[in-house]
Amino acid sequence: MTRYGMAIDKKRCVACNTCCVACKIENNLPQDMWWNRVINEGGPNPDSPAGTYPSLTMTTYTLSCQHCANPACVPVCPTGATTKDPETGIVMIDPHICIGCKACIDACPYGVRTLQADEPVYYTAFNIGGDGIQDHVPNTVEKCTFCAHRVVNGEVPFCVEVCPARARVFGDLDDPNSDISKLIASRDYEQLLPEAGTEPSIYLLV
Amino acid sequence: MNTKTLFLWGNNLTDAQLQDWHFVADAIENGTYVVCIDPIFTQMAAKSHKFVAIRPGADMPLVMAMMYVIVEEDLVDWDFMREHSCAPFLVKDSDGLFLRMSDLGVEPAVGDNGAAVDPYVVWDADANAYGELGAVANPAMEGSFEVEGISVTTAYSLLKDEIMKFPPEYASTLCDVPVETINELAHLAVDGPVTHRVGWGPQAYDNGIHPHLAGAALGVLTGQLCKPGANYGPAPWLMFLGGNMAMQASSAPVTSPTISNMYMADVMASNEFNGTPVTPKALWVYSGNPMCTWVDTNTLRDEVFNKFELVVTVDNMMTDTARWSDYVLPLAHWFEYEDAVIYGNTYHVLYSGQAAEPLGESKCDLDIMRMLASKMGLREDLYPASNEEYLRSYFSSPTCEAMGITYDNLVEQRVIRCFPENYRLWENGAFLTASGRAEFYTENPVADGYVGAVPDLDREHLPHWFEPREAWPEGELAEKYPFVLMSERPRFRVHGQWAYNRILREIDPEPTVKMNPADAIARGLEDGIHVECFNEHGHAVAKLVYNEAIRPGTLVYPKSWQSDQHIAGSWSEPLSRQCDPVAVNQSFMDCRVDVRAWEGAE
Repeated sequence: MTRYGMAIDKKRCVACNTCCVACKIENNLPQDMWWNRVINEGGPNPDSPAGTYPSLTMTTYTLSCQHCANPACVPVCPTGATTKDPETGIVMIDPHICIGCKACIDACPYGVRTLQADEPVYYTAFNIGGDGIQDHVPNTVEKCTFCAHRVVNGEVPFCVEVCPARARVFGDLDDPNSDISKLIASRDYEQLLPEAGTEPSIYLLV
Repeated sequence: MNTKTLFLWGNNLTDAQLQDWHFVADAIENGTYVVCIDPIFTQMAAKSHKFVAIRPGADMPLVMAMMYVIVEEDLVDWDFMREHSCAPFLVKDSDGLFLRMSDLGVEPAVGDNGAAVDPYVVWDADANAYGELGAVANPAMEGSFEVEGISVTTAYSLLKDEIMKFPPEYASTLCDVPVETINELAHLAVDGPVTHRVGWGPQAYDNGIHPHLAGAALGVLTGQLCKPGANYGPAPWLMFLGGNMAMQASSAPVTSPTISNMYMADVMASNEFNGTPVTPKALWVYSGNPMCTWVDTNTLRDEVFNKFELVVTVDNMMTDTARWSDYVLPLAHWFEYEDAVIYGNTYHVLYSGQAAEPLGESKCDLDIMRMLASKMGLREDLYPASNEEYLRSYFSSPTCEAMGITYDNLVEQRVIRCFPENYRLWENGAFLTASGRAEFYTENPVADGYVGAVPDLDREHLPHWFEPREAWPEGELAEKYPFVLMSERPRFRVHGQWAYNRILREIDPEPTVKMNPADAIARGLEDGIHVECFNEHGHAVAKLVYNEAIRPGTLVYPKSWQSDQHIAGSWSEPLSRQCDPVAVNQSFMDCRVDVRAWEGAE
């Protein structure tokens, strides 16, 4: 079996937002839709540290769907739009089945699901992004797909490919010889909200 | 990767030079210790092992005090100083030049390449007599001597005199770095290999040459140059010079003077430049957006742009400058025409292919110049060939041939390395100076670009301290305008480029100014309100952002928002066009303002 996961190195992430913008381009995300966001760990504002000048600390990582092994969103979906692919472990939403009830938004402890309430507004008069990307449908919920349309062709998610810091590693968590498995075995890491019991597939290297 | 300690001086590398960050991250994983010297706690500072908070415009005294510790504790790399530096050269009291054998009546010989060979004179410490450089095994590094009636002092002694003005206790009062930190940094700086990388922060003040004269001297004093993992310098900004130079040189001599922006208003008013009449009538702006990115926007607009009879701007977006032009010529985006990139933070020549047809009537610069030349009745063969033919000719030279760089190879390979693997500046001590050595003493400083009297150049032989013009905590100006206004080159734009990119504007929707919360609370300014930063030159209105990364007493703004994106004013308005007569530099951070809540119309 394959269970895809991602490691994000907090020692390398510098909040550049390249992955967030690349995600928008690759997935043709409409205006105001973001599947991936930078989280600042420090003060309340972006790029603001904790502490008092000059004794300061600041770290950063990005937050998107955790593609949990035990996702909270799947069982609450009344239509079966949200599913977990048993072949890859990727959690998907079928926009043609989703009814926009937002039960998954309430259930997800990570706040990574967003309702596309209205008709999508795009930045360009033509479609951009990769082949086989997800449609954007009014009154449906959207989130990161781990670039399933790329992964199926043996490519890594676009955010991994473009990261200028080389902070992101994608691969099969079930394969002990994958780069990501070896990385997780050799580095200290955190996972978000382990107490939620969701078993996230994102590892934050610290 | 192989440096033991990396010093980053005023280098917001993770934002302004993001392309190099992964190399630094690799180095950190490889064990490199990183010291970040900056007034601002940047992302780079957060990633560094040690953040040294420094007063703006005061890097130079810190470097000098580090050298003081190194000299006091005799941690100097004397072998490097003797073999690879100007340290033992004898400087004449009379004219500040190095003593050469011709000064002693020895006719220069003619070298293999036909150039005169006039050896430097050093003092033989063993024989207690003068001798030729190269013939003396143990030249004196310190001391003043009389050589056939000529009074001389070693270059190192002159440097040491300057260094000894900066005991750490005194330097600490200037740079606001604790004495124990200065000591610690001095010891890190001698434990090689050490790389010093400078950003564009320390030079952004009127005294901005001198932190670099000092920094380079530190590299020499510690022998941390031109070895694996050891260097002093900025990001490696390199240019491929192996192309066919005939393709880029004009055959007609240039007849007009080059005049710095800072003096243009005076020239437009007087119609004179250093005694020569000049009456500029037309302005052609390309590859730039001066109304946004240069200092003192209001003077530039009223006293320069508005005095020209004709202003033409060539650009691929509607910039502040384009808005103040009589004609705007639409430039094709670089994705829309074929070109090659030979200059940048890279060791390669890059091919930039055409991905789409130019939008509307837009054209590349070369096509615009070709059409303009034709209409002006200039020679019809000014740029006769097609763009492809131009590139084919440009990459036809003996160097290109030796490196396998041809137009066809570039198209096929997209990227061809044009510098050697593991390229190092001045490898094996091959310095590009007259002596072939690292010259921390500038023998013959020359002023360029000044207006009026020739500036006094005595100051320029060696690192010399003087306070920045505005950004200093004492004086009348500091009372009237309590905040030093600093800029950052942020990650969401490259100068003015991408200003109107809608995706980026969702992340970063409007101009902001960052302030230490303690300063803001003391003035009753709440997080998120609009504030006006102002002085007598102009103002800028932006959203206030509390940020503990900001040094108390300073304000930091991400640079290069277009003026129509501000509620009022723009960031280059408050920046003075005054400049040091030697540096002739736009001192972007040598600026003071006051700040208040904005109560104007939104």
